[in-house]
Amino acid sequence: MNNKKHRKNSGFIDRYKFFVIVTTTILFFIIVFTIIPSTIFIIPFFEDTYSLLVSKKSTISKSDDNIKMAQNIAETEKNIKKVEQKLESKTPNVAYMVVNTSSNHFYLYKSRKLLREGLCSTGSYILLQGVDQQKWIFKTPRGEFRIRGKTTSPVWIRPDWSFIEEGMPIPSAHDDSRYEYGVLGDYAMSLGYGYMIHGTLYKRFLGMPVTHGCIRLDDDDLKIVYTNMEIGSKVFIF
Amino acid sequence: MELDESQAIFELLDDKVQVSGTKKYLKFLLLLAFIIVAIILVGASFIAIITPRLKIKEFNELYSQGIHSTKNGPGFYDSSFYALKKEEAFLKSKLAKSDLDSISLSINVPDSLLSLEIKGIAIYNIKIDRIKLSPIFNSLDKDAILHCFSLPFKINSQYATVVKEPIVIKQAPKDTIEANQAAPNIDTLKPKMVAYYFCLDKDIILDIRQSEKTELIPYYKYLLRYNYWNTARQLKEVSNFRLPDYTPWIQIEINCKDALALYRALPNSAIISIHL
Repeated sequence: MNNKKHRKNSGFIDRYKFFVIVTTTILFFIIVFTIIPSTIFIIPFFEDTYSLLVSKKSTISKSDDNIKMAQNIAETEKNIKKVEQKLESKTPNVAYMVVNTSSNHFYLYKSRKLLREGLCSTGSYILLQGVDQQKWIFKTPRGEFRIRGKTTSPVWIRPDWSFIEEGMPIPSAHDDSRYEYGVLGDYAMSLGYGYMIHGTLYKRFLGMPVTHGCIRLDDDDLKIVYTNMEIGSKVFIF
Repeated sequence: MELDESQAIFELLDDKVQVSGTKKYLKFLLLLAFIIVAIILVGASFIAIITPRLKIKEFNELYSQGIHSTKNGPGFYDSSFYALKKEEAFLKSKLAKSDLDSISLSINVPDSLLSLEIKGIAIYNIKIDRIKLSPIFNSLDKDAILHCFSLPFKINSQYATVVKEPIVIKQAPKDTIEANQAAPNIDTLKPKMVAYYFCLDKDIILDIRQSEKTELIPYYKYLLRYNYWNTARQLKEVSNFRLPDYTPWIQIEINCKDALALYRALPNSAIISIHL
């Protein structure tokens, strides 16, 4: 009889212990996963709400001196025009090109008007690791560049990485295998540091980041870009 | 027999003591939870009330120095003149950064336009889909705003849900057979969510997010990270017995592709002009 009572009580105590553990765990999780994160949101929310409440638009009062105000407005408008002119003078009147390396699009402007836009291919961001700790990163540099040279029927002189990438042995500097004809399209424009704007055989990859850093264009686009861009024309890459 | 009975009574008493102990423990836990919640709420309210006021005072003092004494004086501006002055300040700021070689950003809030620029030339314009400004901007002194925004801002630190350069490491193949077997690496994966914030000098946060709807988990992860940064900084100040600082913010939503292009185009310490 007593044993039965005792077993009943110990069962009750076990349930209590279990309840305590569960409650402690729940409280712990509430604090860690609810209260702390909500605090993270509560404070900025309270701050913004409060600053919204205290924010009174600074009084805008009409000046008593209307003539003085008119003079000030005229003076400010004059200043604005002056600065606008200074800024406008920085935009080239001759042709320039803008390349978006994220969406692989190019834009050709002339006389401040959009002349042509289309798909291009830019750097793939592949970091090629060769033997002997050699590394090459295939990305198109960003910033302002100028056309440094223009060629028709360009020949690609394959650099070392081109052979390493294809698992081939590196030939000597003037080996015939380094010279490839027809792979760069009909025209090429040099941007310096080995980067070029040229054509491609892989037209299906236009609009994708697949190059070794050069900018590849479709044949028709390339012809228009080549015709309009002079040596010294600016190319903005972002 | 008697011994057994007394032993059972003692055990029962013991159990009763344990039960009352656990009850006390439970009460203590509840009280502790209540105290923690109360402290957090009181602390949050305190921070929320005190920080914007301090910021307004600090900002006005910092950027109005020597300006109040000019011919304009406080409350001088009417709305059209103030709009002109803001435009002038913005253009001055753009001109100041036009000699830089690196890519910079201009934010024109009234025209809902973002512009990527190099040497003062707008190379890419992005339409802003949605813009929200910290309410505190309405309370700041107009002269102080003009003075502050007439010079460009600089990015001090940043956080983004996407990488700046999506570099893929590729080992050189051993031979032509291995090279032919390798699949072409083309980064065409669309990121789950594009969002980032720039902590600018002059203590302003520029928060740029994609306007398209996104999955909830990456969205809240970003939101948590964004708010955590701010709150943690404030709590750190409080724990050091210093008054916390409120950081005004500008939140901009643009389309996902442009948000990605913008983030990747801007250098780590990019210069930014803002027209409020």
